[in-house]
Amino acid sequence: MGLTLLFVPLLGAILLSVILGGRIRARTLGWILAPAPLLSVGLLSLFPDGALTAAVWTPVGPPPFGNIPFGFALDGLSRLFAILILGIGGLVVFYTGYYFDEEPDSGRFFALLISFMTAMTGLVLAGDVVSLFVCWEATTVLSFLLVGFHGRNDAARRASLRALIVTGIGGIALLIGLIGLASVTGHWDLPGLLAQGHAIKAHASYPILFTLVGLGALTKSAQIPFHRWLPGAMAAPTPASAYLHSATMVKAGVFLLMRLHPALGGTDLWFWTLSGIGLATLLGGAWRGVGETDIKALLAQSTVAQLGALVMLAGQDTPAAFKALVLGVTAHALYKSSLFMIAGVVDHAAGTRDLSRLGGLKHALPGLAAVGFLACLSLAGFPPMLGFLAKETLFASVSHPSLPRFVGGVFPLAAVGAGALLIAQAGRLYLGVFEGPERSRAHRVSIFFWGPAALPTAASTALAFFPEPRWLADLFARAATAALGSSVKVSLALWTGLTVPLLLSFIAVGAGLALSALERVGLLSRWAGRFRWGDSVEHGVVLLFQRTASVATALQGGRIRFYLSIVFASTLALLLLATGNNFCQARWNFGGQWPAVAAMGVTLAGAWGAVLLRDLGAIMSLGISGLGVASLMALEPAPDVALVQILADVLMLVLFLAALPKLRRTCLPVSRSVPTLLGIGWGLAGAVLSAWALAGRPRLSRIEPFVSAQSKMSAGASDIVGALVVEFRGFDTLVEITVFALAGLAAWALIDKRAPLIRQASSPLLAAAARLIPPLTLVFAFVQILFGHDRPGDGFTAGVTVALGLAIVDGVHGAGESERRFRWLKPDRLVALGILLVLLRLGWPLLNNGAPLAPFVLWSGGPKGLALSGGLFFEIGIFLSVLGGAARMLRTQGEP
Amino acid sequence: MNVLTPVTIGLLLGLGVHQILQRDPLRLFVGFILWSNALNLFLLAMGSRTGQFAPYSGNPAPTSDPVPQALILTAIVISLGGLMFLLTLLRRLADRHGQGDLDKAQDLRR
Repeated sequence: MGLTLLFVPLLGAILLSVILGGRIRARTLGWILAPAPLLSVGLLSLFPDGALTAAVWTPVGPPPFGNIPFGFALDGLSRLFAILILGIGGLVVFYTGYYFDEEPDSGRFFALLISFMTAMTGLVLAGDVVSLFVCWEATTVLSFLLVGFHGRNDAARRASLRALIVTGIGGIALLIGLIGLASVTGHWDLPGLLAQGHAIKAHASYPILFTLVGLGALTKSAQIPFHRWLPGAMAAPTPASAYLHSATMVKAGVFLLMRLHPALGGTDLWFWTLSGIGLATLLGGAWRGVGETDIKALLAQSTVAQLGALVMLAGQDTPAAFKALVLGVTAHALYKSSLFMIAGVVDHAAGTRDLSRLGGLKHALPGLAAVGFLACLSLAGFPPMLGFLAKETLFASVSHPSLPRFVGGVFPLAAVGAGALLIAQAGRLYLGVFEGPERSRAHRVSIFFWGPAALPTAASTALAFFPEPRWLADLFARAATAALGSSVKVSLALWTGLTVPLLLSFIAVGAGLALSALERVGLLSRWAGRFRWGDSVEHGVVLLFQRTASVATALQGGRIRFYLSIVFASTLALLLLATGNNFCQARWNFGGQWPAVAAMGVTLAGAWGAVLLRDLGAIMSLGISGLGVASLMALEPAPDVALVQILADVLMLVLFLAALPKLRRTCLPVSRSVPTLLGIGWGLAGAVLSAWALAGRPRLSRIEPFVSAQSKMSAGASDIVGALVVEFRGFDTLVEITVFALAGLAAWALIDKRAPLIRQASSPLLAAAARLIPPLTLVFAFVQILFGHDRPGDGFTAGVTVALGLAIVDGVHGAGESERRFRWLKPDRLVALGILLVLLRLGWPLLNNGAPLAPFVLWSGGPKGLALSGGLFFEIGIFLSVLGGAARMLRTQGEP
Repeated sequence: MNVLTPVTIGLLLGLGVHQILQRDPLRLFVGFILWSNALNLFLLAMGSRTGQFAPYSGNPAPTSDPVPQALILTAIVISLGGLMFLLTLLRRLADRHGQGDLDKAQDLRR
């Protein structure tokens, strides 16, 4: 079980919220669900740093493919983040209960929120590249669903889509970057990968890998120029903002940078990129925040600023910077979640979040005002709050003597400027909402509603009462050490004497108060609202999209053949870019006598089919061409494929013949110019390119020796092609039969079902055939399934054979007769049963701790070649679903 | 190396493009069949070696390469499903609008 234990309470809570949602009041549900994350925090303390829980997934192939691990690992960094995620998560869940008390759909919100929490916990505990990425993408998708929770609201839909696109693109970049890292180091597990930092940094592709991973982190953490999605995402319900945009989602990017710092950090590229972008984001967010009038928008901009500061710190590789980083992450998570929850309470109580319509709420809500005051102190970085310590360590880091000379002047200046702006933001927030004349009426709110907002703030005052707690300093130190890769010391003393950082703090406070004074006369927010720098990049992107859209609509006027011509022409152009000159290395000949005959048959019959204007003749001719293909396959020799090709060809012909009378056709005239031109081009390109591709033969196959050796040994099949289909590529085959069966079911759904079926009179000879043939096909199918492992033929051919037998019944007696005559023939049920059987076969090995799809044999005592194995169940499943699908297709085309 | 293989593939592909680009919707059906045959032949020819025996364990070398054969097996089934769905669409078109014409496809929206 190991670290997976942590997820048990969360999964239970998701299940509960789905079951209970809508049945009981949201606040009751909040009381029930909130303990789950807190229980997980408690469970976390059972595990020491360095705990690993890994599952090795099935080997996907011979050595170059190797094994895929999936597991969790705990170290100082993941512990700190997990505590924040789950602790604040518990509070937000509780808060949600009161916030959404009136919301009928609150169960869905709880389920999404706790799922997000689970994904986030998985992300910080990820022990390997695969689980890291899977959890990363899960947070992206779930945040899309949370931001767009009120899907009827147009703004919410657009904002959530924008967040999804920006972070989704970053996620794709991250995927490529992570695969790159894994293949450079040969490690899919994170501990192994992080230990190979020197190898990665020395590798030629380091800049590319860093850029890809950086894109993932910077989009998620809303850095310039990707910052715009975060203020937009304020369309989310406030509990989601309080959770996603304070402690979790947006911190994922910062977490990623910290996690991968040992692998990627410590280079000039790392330093300049992250410091530069972080600094720009810090200043931009601090400046824009002053100009906002919506509380949540102001908080969003201050979050952008704070994230900029964190990314900038991650860019520096000093112990001081990483100390500031862990303190900053914690302090920000505490006060920002608190402030967002306060914004929600204010919204509820006063009915607005607009600063120009709020004021004097401290009379109606004194408790909330006190909490708001302390949280704003922490935002502004005043003692004795944790925010003060975070800001001091930030100043200490940016004025560190080890920094390059040029930035030694710029960093402190910029940090002090941003600090002053953040003080102005905090002042504007507190004074605007709680002080001054009472401009809006507010009703009282339950202490349980605003209580969750008070707790994080109370936690950030703890340092005033418990000076320098050892265990807390230890927690921070271990987190920073794990991220930096070398030892970091953390002391939590609020007063360290007169130092440079304190001096910078004084300057920032002075400037901040001056700015606040400017704000009192209403100047600052007006300037900040007018001049919003940093948004222009996105305007450019939007413009680009609009231009592209107008070109696209001009091109797509609804003429299908025009699209097809463009597609074929441009694909042809791409094909022509492929070049090769190894034609001459191969020795060309005309092959044997029979392959030549078959190839000519295929070509001539195909050409005849294309030239013939009569539909019936054309399709019959194509059927002959298909049989020619089958004989080429038989000559390869590929008996399995040849058999399938013949049966598929016959079934196609039968179905077409059944449908043709109902198509009521007259042929349209042949178009010549463009189709002929493109046809000739494609013909030439196809011939030349396939000649080029084939001339390289014989090549070594990496997969073939593996499957050939393994098919008898582990799958117990002599028929290697059959073993490939039902064992090695079993998942593909599941999808394949699903597609086939769904095509049959969907076709049936598509047509109009008309008059009752009429029984046709027929000759006694035909009637006898219709009576005899179906049982014979059943016997034939039975043999094919039983011995499919060792002989040509499998579930598919068995299913098609039986379907053809049924076609004879229908052909003789009229459509639907077979379904009337054979009671067991219920196509929809056969499809469902078949797919279910395959799913059971896939899952069965899990019961014995095997990988899904692993081969198994239940009983093998029968005559030679007969065994009750996984492959047999698979074949039966294929047979049932193919029979169901094909029967539906027959019925569809036979319907009058 | 057999010269006829690439020639056959090329001819089928070219004929397929010519057919798919016709106005007559039934010709889409013809074109798809030609393409699926051409691509299956291509996959078959891409095997890592030419064989004299079928790929069964126990057969003497040289056997043909089983990997492309398994891919073709899947491809045949999927394309048969697709073709049948296309055929049903053609029937639906005939039921609702009579003779179809790809150049007048945008009129069908109304």
